Amino acid sequence: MSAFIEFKDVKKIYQMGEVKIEALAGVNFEIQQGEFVVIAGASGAGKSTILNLLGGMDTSTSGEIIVDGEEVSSFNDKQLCDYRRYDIGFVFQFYNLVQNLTAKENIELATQICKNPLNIDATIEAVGLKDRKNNFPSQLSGGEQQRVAIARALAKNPKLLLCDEPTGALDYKTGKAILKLLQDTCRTHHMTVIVITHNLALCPMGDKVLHVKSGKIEKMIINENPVDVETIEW
Amino acid sequence: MVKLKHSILKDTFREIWKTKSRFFSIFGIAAIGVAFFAGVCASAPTMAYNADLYYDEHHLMDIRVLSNFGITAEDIDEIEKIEVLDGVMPAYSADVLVNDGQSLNVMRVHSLNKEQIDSQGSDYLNRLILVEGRLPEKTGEIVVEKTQMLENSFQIGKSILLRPAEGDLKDTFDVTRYKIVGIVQTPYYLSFQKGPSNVGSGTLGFYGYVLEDNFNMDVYTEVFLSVKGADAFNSYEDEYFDYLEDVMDELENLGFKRSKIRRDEIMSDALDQYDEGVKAYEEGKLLFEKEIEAAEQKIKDAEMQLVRGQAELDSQKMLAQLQMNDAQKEIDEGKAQIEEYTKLLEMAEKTYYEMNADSIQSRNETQAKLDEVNAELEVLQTELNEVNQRIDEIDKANSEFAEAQSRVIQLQSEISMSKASIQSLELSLSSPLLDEEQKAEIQAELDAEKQNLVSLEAELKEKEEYIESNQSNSSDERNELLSQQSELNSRILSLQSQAEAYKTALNVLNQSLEPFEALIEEFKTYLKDGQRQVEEGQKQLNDAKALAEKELLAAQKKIDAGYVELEEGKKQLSEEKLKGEEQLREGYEDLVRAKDEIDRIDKAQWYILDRNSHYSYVDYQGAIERMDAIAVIFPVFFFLVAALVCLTTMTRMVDEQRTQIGTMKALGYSNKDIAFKYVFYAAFASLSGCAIGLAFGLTVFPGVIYTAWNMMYILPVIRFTTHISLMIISTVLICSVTTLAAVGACYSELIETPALLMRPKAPKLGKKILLERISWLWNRFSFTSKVTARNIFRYKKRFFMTVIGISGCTALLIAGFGVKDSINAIVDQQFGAVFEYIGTATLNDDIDDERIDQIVIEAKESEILDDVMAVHCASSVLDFESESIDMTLMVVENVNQFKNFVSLHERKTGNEIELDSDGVILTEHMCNQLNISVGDKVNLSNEDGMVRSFEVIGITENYVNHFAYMSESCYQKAFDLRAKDNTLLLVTNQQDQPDDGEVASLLTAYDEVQSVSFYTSIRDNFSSMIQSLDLIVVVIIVSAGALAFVVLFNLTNVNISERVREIATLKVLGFHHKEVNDYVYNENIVLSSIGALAGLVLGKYLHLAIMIMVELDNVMFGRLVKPQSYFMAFVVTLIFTVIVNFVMKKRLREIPMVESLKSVE
Repeated sequence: MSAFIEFKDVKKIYQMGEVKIEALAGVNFEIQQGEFVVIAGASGAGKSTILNLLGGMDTSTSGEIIVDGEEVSSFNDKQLCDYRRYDIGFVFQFYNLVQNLTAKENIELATQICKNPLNIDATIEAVGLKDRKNNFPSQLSGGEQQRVAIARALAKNPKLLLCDEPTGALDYKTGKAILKLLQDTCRTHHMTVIVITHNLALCPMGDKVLHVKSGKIEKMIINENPVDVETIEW
Repeated sequence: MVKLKHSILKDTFREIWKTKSRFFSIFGIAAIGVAFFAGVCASAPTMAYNADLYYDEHHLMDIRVLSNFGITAEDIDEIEKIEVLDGVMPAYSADVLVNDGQSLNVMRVHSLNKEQIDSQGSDYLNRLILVEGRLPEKTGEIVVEKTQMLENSFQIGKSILLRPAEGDLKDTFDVTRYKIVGIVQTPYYLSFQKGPSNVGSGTLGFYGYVLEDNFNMDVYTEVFLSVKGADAFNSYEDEYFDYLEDVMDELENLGFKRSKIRRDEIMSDALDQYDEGVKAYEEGKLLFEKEIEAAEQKIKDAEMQLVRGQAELDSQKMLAQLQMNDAQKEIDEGKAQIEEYTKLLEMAEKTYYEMNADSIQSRNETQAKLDEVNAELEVLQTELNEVNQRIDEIDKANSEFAEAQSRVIQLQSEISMSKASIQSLELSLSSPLLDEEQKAEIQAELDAEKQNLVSLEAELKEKEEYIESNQSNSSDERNELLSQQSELNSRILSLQSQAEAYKTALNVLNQSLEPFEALIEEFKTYLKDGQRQVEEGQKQLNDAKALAEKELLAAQKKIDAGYVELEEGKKQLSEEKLKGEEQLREGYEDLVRAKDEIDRIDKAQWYILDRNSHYSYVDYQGAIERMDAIAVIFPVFFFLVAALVCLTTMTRMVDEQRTQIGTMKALGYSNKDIAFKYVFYAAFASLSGCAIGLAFGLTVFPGVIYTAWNMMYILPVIRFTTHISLMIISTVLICSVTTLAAVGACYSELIETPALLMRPKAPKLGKKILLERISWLWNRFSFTSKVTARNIFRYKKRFFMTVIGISGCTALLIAGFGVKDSINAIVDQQFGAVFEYIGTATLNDDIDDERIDQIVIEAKESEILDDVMAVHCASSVLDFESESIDMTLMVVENVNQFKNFVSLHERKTGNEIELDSDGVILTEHMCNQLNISVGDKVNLSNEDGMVRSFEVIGITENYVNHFAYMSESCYQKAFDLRAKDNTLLLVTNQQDQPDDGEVASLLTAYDEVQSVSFYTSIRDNFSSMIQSLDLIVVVIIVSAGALAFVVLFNLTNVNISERVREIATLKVLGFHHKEVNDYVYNENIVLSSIGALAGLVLGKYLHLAIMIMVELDNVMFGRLVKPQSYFMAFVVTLIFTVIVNFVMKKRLREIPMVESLKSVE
């Protein structure tokens, strides 16, 4: 059985005027379904590019990206759009909620366009925001907003949950709670979750940890026994 | 300003470069705003400037002095003494009628002074500009105006005949036929509309100039004056009139003095004349009454005589009848007598016949007896005759016997002789001597002899036999017979005597009745005589009767003829009387008029008129004012929108750069330095926009507008003037708006601490909106709709900017389309709903009512005209609260029939207004102009200039020209004059749709029809006016489009730049392009729709305001905007929105999804 996600010698080269910048210089890795993956690396190492390619927000220059048996790297714009729409759940560093919609409506924003959405109220409850669902983002704290964002991503019932520095804008405690939520989601829903972070301290919590450096996978660690996020300190 | 830090300047310019579209949206709105504001504002001053320049260059008079009794040479001398006057130009003018090829129209002929022209001195005012040909050099030459319309009829080389409007032109002109030698234009007549005239149609159609010598007038009509130094002022500004004030006063005083002198002269003359007139009238009246009385007496006498004659005749008739009756009676008596006699006669005759019958019986008996006797006699006679006959027979037989006996003897002898002869002959024959011939001869002789012998022997034998038989009894018988004879004779004799006796008896019987017969015969004769006499008498009587009747009839005829004559005489008298009364009435009316005229002499004075009373000047001033009014309305939108656009743009810009501001502040830059960038940005954008906008606006708008107005005015090509103050004002306005917006935006940021600024600005709170309360509706909304709905109300600045801008756009479009609708509506309303008649025919003044009736009937009978009606039309002046207006007075006799020609009704309610004898109905436009309402008292003048006060009983819908409608009875009551019909109103056959030429030729065939005019020309005028408006409509649509574009572009721009993260996020969430577009554009579309809806309301009022402002003096524009126009405006606005959305699509598409990963700045 092939892997759920497969990167085969994926390269991404940005043409900046005369200069060519190789963001990814041949990346290979595999991720199995239901895995909690941490992609770690310093700023500019190429982890965001991986996220962009994986999230269908950008196309690779060469190489193959296969998600759930489909070759995402060969998708055109329209296919990419549908891919994002139906297969990906995205959690942003800055939550990216629509300010003018309430928490519930922000989730609806996502569910309205996908095929098999989860029950919205259940999802909200799952992220612990039952009482705040009719609040606007500006009335919520950062952690609450991120919970809404996660709920939004989950409610779409995606194949893959991509999280870009989900705790980057949050304080320590809140960040931990969010990560816990993600980990629990992975475990309970058997959802493939990929978390991108520059915080190496988070590495032990992943089933699989990919260290990115200079556009390559520096090393891949598989934790047989990933630790619970609550035990991690940073 | 503080010394600029190099880096700030650099940053500023980089910023401009980076945010080109933002820069250009400020630049653009500033340019458009300024172009519009300055351009439209400059239009009116440019018009005024050009007109004034034209006036000055061609020495338009400053003041015109006229008096109702003309200006005398002495007056001129006095005027010339006023020092401040530069030019003094006394002149003649007169309104006449000319044929322009279609109908008679009014032309005002002015005088030219040849010396003045030659010298080109300051006295030569209202100078002519020669367009073609040359100026008049001798009498009989004329120059006319330059118009496009009449190129065919008024051409150089053709000649014009001046016709009098009434009377003749002898007192005005020496020459009436002129040759056109040149085409001119003059500042004295700027507009195609030249103002009112008191003759003909009431409107001045053309003007012409001839040399002074052609006029034959005692006094000057008017004197034109120019004032030293007045041309330094713009005559459309108050300073000009201030400058003229002194000289006006001086002239006023002089006028007061001079006109008093002149008035007194004329007054006494007029009063004398009037008195004479009154005397003549009274005398005439007396004479007329006397004559009528005499004639009536005469007729009465004649009638008397006739009555008397009739009576006499009647008595004669009666007498004759009596006589006749007597005669008839006599005759009848005679007739009765005769009848009696006749009866007697009949009786006598009857008796006679009875007697006669008796006598006849006895006569018959006698006759029978007689006849018997006679018969017996006859038998006897016959017997006798038989006896006699028998005797005669016997006698005869006796004689025959004797004779036979003697014959026998004779025969015996002869036989013997013959036997002898035969023997001799046989002997001779046997002689041989005889030759053969002789033998034959003898033989023949022998044969003859032998024959003879034979016959003789036969005869003898016969005779012998006879003798033998008759020898016995003849004599006995004879005897017996004789005895019989005698017996018979005696019997006859006795019978004859018997017969004789009977005959006598008969005679006696016959004679016994004879006397009776004679008596009857006599009686008959007598009766016949009597009858004849009676008949004769009857005949005589009849003859006499016939004669008498004939005579009487003749007499009756004579009397009847007398009566007919009398009737004729009576009729003639009444006609004469009517005619005389008419003449008297006319004389009376003349006196009324004269009296009024004299009354008005009292009010007479000089009229010192400055340019405010000069038609063309005022007319053009109206145009300028209208333009000015528009200049206020239109740019307001652009300004408001410009301000809002700048404000939102700058606010957004400052918002975006919050972190940078914080950083700068943290780095220690002063607030001023930091604000400089934004203020400079705004100022630079708006200033450069102003420069371009001014350059464009100040050339294009005044040019287009001036040219558009020149379709109605004759003015030279545009000369631009600088509008420094306007440029400064508009620039300062726009720049201050933008920079203030920038300062305001900066200020709110700059008061915060750097630390706060470094952190992202708390996003504007999402808020629940009212709509959410209606949860059933709200829950049906998709999230995009929800976002749109919330966004719309979240950013109020943007909301107002968009709604104002878009509503302005829609309103402008409505106004633009509506202007055309309304002017189009004039034609439909005026000639559909108000006027049923399509033209008028002007009649000669001297036509009488009967002839008018005849023409009306004949015209109605023609196929092409459906209805014709005669009314009285006069140009009149309406005066209300010291404001006056020229208009047409229409006096109607048959009010009901008039309803088929003009519909008098209120515009708003449509209620019909009845024309009764109590007052006058006025048309709407002039009532609006003078603020007249129903129930007010207004003064109206009639054709003779008499003024009376009337109550306004109604205000009727009307668009073109001004009318006052009045019933004949009202007119008569007020003026004590009858309104003489002088105009025919024409309604053509709807089916045939005859053209004007047909109708005109039908009517002009009558000598009494002076001219025929149609509304077709007015319609044509309007359609050309509408065409000229096309240009303005295009300008409006383009500017409306620009407005919409700028606003929407800016809105979208701001929205997108503000929501880049949101949009990127949506993209990451897998939204399709269309869904993303909707997310942004729904807001645009909703805002545009709200704006457009608001614009529909705004447009209605904008249109109304514009219509009122641009209205001409004599034309009320419709207020109508067609539903299509609203629809069009709405749709066009949305099309603009769609176009903007389409253009902005690309920008949305290009937003990278990676934006979503960036931190909030």
